[in-house]
Amino acid sequence: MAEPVVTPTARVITAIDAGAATTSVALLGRLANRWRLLGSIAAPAGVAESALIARLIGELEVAELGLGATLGLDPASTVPLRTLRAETPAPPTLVVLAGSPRALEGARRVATATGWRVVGAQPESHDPRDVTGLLLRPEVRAVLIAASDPPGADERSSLDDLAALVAAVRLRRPGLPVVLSGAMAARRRRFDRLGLDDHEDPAPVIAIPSARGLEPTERVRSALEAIRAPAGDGRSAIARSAVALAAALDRRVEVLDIGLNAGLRAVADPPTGGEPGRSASITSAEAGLAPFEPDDASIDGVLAWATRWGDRHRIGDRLHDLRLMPWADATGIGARLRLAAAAAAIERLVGHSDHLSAGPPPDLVVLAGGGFALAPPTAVAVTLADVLRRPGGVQVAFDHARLLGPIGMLPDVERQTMLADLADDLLLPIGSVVVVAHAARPVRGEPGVRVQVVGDGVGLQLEVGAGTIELVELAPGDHAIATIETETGGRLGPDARRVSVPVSGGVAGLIVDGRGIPLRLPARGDDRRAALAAWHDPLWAVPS
Amino acid sequence: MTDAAGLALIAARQLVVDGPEAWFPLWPGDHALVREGDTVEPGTPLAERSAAARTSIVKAAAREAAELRPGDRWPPAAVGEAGRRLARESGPPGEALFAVGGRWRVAVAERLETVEAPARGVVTRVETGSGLCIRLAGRALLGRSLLGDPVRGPLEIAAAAHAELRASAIDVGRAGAILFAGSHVDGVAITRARATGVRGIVVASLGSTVRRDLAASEHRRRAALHRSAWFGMLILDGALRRPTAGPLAAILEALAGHEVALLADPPALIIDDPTVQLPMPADDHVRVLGGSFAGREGRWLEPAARRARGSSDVAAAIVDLGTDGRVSVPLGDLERFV
Repeated sequence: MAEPVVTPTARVITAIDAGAATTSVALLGRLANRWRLLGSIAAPAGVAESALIARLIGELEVAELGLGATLGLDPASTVPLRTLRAETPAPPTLVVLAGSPRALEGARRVATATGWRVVGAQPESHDPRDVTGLLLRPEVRAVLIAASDPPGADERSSLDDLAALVAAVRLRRPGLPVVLSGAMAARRRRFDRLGLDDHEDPAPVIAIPSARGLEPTERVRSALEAIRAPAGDGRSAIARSAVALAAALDRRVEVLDIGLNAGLRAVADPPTGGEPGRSASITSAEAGLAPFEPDDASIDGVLAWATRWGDRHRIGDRLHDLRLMPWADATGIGARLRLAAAAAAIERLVGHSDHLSAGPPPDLVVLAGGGFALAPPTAVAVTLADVLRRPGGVQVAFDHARLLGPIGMLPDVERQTMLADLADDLLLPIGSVVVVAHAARPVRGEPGVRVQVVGDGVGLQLEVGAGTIELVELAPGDHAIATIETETGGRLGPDARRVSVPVSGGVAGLIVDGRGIPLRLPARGDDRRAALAAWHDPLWAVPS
Repeated sequence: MTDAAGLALIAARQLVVDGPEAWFPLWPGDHALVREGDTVEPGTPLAERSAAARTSIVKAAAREAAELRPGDRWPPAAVGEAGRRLARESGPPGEALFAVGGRWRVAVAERLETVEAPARGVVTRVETGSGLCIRLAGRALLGRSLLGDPVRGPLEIAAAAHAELRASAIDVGRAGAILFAGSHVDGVAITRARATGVRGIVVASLGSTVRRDLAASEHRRRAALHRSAWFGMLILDGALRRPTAGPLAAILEALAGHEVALLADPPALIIDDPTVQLPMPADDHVRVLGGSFAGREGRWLEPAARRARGSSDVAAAIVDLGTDGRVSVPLGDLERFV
């Protein structure tokens, strides 16, 4: 059994988040009986972690004389520090088979939310030779065969063929896990007669029938997630940290992590009235920053949020190179590309997780991932508001030291303690975003809503015109009450004419967004880019 | 003097690999012509690959069906009367896939083309319907991707490292050669190269539009009844135009006139000749990948103070770029070569 990382005597811990694009190393120290973030550094994936740790310790020595000695940090020491480590490997490939295009679409939707890179096939589009060849590719790591229960007329005739095909492939690749869902589960016995009993370690065949006529979506999801990462990975660790964070802050928390290869959306509620906190999450390989193969759809997705480029070939080239060298060109123009790609990724992620949008909006949105790291915080907050048009106010923070993953690797109690200690350090407060929904279509220049902000060191009255964004300076740590009042049908929240919401400050302050819900953008590309640029370009004007 | 610990913070790009393992993908119905342990030379037939294929359904007698396993050749070998009957009734030969209700689905290859070994090596693995692996004897100069097929020929320097290969620079005199095309090449030059019998191109970058056109062209070539010669294109970097990295260009220049091969998996240029001395860069040689100095190369000097960007403090290094002077560059914008 592995030795616990956090013990009563532990003074310093390194937290490593080894992502697909970059590796981040943070040093955590126990000062005055409380865990604090001492510093963090990130470098391209593949760079030696020991070199990053040495650099970080060296910087601490220069910056804070005596701190290293207090904690027993010795730059020359060869004794390895206790380490919390989270890894997010590239998503493996899952082949999804079904008997008809309709059934395939449903199965794909389920599989896409489990972190696999999904390739679908069905008899109308793929010959048995193509499917066999696909399943024999070394990069394919599992197969899901799905059927409705009872099977539809359009898929009934192919179910036996699909089961026989996959069973035959299992003879050639006994290590290929198979998940049979819906009516396909009844064909489990086909896999029992393969004669693989003497094989050293055949992969599992998991049959998940429908229960009382209901589609076995959740169980299929769990099975696929367990096959993909039996011990969990960096993203499932982030989801666990979201739960602990919700409890530590007593807030409903939503985490949006956009990595190079995949995106995570986790929503967590704090414990209430003796009930434990609740959470739900999805990981989607279609919500990564850079597509595996930039196609028309992925290029259009980025183009839709780009303020600079109208040339789709140019975007295609940039996305191609972003995948090849995700750490390069991350400042300047590269930061704008990443933020547009992150907006497209959030849009896809939210599209794949409708079930997480139910319930009250979150109090706090925590962003994580390289797409947000190098853009001006105000641009990050406005981009989030572009994509998530929710009426009301929300705080926005950034996991700047990438600690949510490593801390999520801790056992429950230690995770809770460490997050309670570190919450202030690990979350960089971006600020608050208040989105005002207009009952009627907003027209730029019309009288807007009145917003009064009163709180720590601030007291002002604003008129927020339709189609405009107002930025209010509100320092990190400051709190205020924003009261929104309208006479002309504007509203904040369901049918409210005067609403007060608590807001807190951050590096971007308070953003009051009067652009309406949904955000109406011109259909023509040039006009759309001009509209987005009018809101975004000023936010990038000052080098951050 | 080089600060090795600081230099270790820069992403390292491997230039050359000794004895690479090359993977040649096959599909069901394709036919491997070599076995594990076989030694292959350049031009040795490795497999028959189908340019087109279909699945046929055959009815097997109970005894044959019981003995047949997925991946076996169809029809099964038999002698005497049974063999004659199978030859008469079994339809075209192929690879058994699976059986339903006593009928086997068989992958039947059509319009076979021979895959030849691009370089010397030993076959280490043959997986029916999936691919075969060869441990090559030479060295591999690693690129990012290969479009097209593995090919072999003498390397010719057709453009300078920072220049673009124009169609007008390609004529029939280059037939059979693999051309180093410098930093970039356009679709017209590629078409001309194929038309004049050039076997392959090595280039620093290739735009995604040209990649798509080339893939479509390759698809048409495979579908055509009249097959043209194989053609491969090794891309050393990405899609955005940039000069060839100095260390890569130096190695390619050292290889001018030598027989080389282009390989898809791993994407690489294979160097058979063990006598060729490959120039390797100094340990502190770095190349700038992004930002205003993208494409420049120089010497890493020392770590620099962090630079605030967005919500982060970006680690940086001081680099001597020669005529551009000493500049601070984010670590992520640098690569070194090993």
